[in-house]
Amino acid sequence: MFDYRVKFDQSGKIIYSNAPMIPAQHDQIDRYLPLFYDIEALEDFDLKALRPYECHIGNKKYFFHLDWSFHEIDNMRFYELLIEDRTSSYNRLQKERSKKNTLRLEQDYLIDRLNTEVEEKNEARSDNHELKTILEHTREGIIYQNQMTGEIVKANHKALELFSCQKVEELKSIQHIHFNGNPREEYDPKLFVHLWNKERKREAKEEVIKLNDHAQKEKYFSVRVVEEQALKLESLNIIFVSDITNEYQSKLELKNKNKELLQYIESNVQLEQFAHVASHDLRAPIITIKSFSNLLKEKCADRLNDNESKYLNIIKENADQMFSLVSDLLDYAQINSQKIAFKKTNLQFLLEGVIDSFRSIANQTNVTIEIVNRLPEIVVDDVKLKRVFQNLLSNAIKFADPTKKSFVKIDFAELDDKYEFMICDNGIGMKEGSVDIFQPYTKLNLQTEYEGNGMGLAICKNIIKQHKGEIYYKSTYGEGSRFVFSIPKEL
Amino acid sequence: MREIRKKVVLFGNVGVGKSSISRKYVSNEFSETYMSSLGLSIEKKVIELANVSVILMIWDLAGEIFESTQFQGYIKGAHGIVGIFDSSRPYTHDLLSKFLDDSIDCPHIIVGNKVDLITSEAKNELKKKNVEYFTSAKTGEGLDEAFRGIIDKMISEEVYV
Ligand SMILES: Nc1nc2c(ncn2[C@@H]2O[C@H](COP(=O)(O)OP(=O)(O)O)[C@@H](O)[C@H]2O)c(=O)[nH]1
Ligand SMILES: [Mg+2]
Repeated sequence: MFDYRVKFDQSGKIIYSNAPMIPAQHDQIDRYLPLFYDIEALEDFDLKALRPYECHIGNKKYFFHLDWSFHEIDNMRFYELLIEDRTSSYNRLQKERSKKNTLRLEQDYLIDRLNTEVEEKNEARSDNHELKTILEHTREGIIYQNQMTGEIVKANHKALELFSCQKVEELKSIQHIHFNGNPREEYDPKLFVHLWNKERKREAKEEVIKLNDHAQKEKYFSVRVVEEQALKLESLNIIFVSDITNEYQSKLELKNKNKELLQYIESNVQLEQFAHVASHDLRAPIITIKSFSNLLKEKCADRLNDNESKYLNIIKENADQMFSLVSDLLDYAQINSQKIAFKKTNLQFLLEGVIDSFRSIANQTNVTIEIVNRLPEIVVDDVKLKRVFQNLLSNAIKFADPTKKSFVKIDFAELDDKYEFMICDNGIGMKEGSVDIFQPYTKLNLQTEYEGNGMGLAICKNIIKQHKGEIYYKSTYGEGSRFVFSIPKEL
Repeated sequence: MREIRKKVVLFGNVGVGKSSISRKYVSNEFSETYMSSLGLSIEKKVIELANVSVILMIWDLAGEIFESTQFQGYIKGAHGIVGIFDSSRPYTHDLLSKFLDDSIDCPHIIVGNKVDLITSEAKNELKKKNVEYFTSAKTGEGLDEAFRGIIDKMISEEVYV
């Protein structure tokens, strides 16, 4: 049964061999059969069960069935190895097995490829899922339309909601009035036929369209068509729709409001012009009434009885009142007008005129008014600037401290880029407070003995602002106030 | 010089390239045609280190033996196990790591063979699975490093035991 017999000692040295492939005597057995590199470790190894043992000897590959036994002489072990050379039959088996295993390998590769494909598919599926989620949650309506046939393939939830439709089919019947396109352009009243229409101007990719939705509600939609340039037969138009009814209506409202505002401004200007003309023209007759009633009083005072002179006084008082009303109206019309007329003005003359008009009241209240440095000739709106001086001087005189020798000083300084004007007084001053005295209707002192409408400083600020200048003040209660305003050199 | 013998068992699925690795590493031979292993083949290779020469006995078993009851007998006395999988068939890695984690307490390494067949991306994926060694029995790439790896593990085991 066994073809060959090989004997070796416990050191692996070959003592005997009749195997042609293991010829050498006194050689080591593991040089041919590496299995025996550690003989002791092999001792309880069942060599019979090891089938086959494969080894390369020389250039040849062998398949062996092995069995072994040993005996001891003088404490030395001697091994007898039986070899059955099964190379030729195993070669056949190996060929078959290899074929089978090759198939198995190929199968494995296939399975592996399949697995990765499945994975990829799963990924694609989740991509698809993502897309679906986006499609269903976006705030825009999205509609897919077949590029070839114009047929609506599908629509997201939002699209159906926007058009008040239950089903995709209902979208087909949506009619529209074309809005931002050329009004003479022929269009199909069916919205989706219109959008699909090849004749439709391509640059009109985004359109505002007016339509009645499926529930006959009037709406304005913004519609955008994106052509999907897929290399597929069934290319799609993707139509994005959003409801802009609210925006559109607020835009419309805004437009109307603007129109109203323009009309209002226009009428305001007209009113101002009227007030100007009316007050200007009214002053002359009132002055006449005033002077003649004065004259009358002077000339006939002794000839009038009590009642008659009372009537005359009433006429005089009312004429005075009317005069001051009309003057105020005239001022108001001029000051409030945003129109500003700059011209070269000698401020020294202007200020002297203002001071003159305050002379009598100043004398009455014992206030001296002094110009410290001569004022320059600069470009301003003379009417408006005159009002500033009037207001500031009138305040300074009004709030004079009767217990002191009161004065008002007006000074001027030329700085690099601006002119600065100062109006100082030693009047009662103001308590520091949180009120912005330059706001309209802010009274400087709450005591009723000081009359005024609270507009004076607001008007000043407005005028200085129109001159691109600044106004501020410093005041100490009980000591006096100092108002400073500046006018830039380059207006 | 001191000489130490180490039994190393190659372990892995059919066709991952155990026999090819052994032949290439020991005799620098490689064949594209698949010759299925039928039983046990043992190759010897001597590696000279600085102060020791390691005689590696590389046991290459047929796939069938792994499934047989005698398998434990074959790995008995092994000093190290080289677990081999086919980088181009990732599932062979799963089987391998499962076996090596569960039932082996001797030094072992995991080797991804046929690295010449895969892309660098695929290689990076495998590196994430803690594969340290990549070899190709076809080109010989990585073989020295892999066997050096198992030798180092076996020697350090020897020191501590
Ligand atoms: N391309 C390539 N093929 C290999 C490599 N290693 C083995 N093979 C091939 O894979 C097949 C199986 O190899 P084999 O060594 O018999 O695998 P075993 O069953 O694990 O012993 C053979 O056709 C080899 O040519 C490798 O690193 N690269
Ligand atoms: Mg093999």
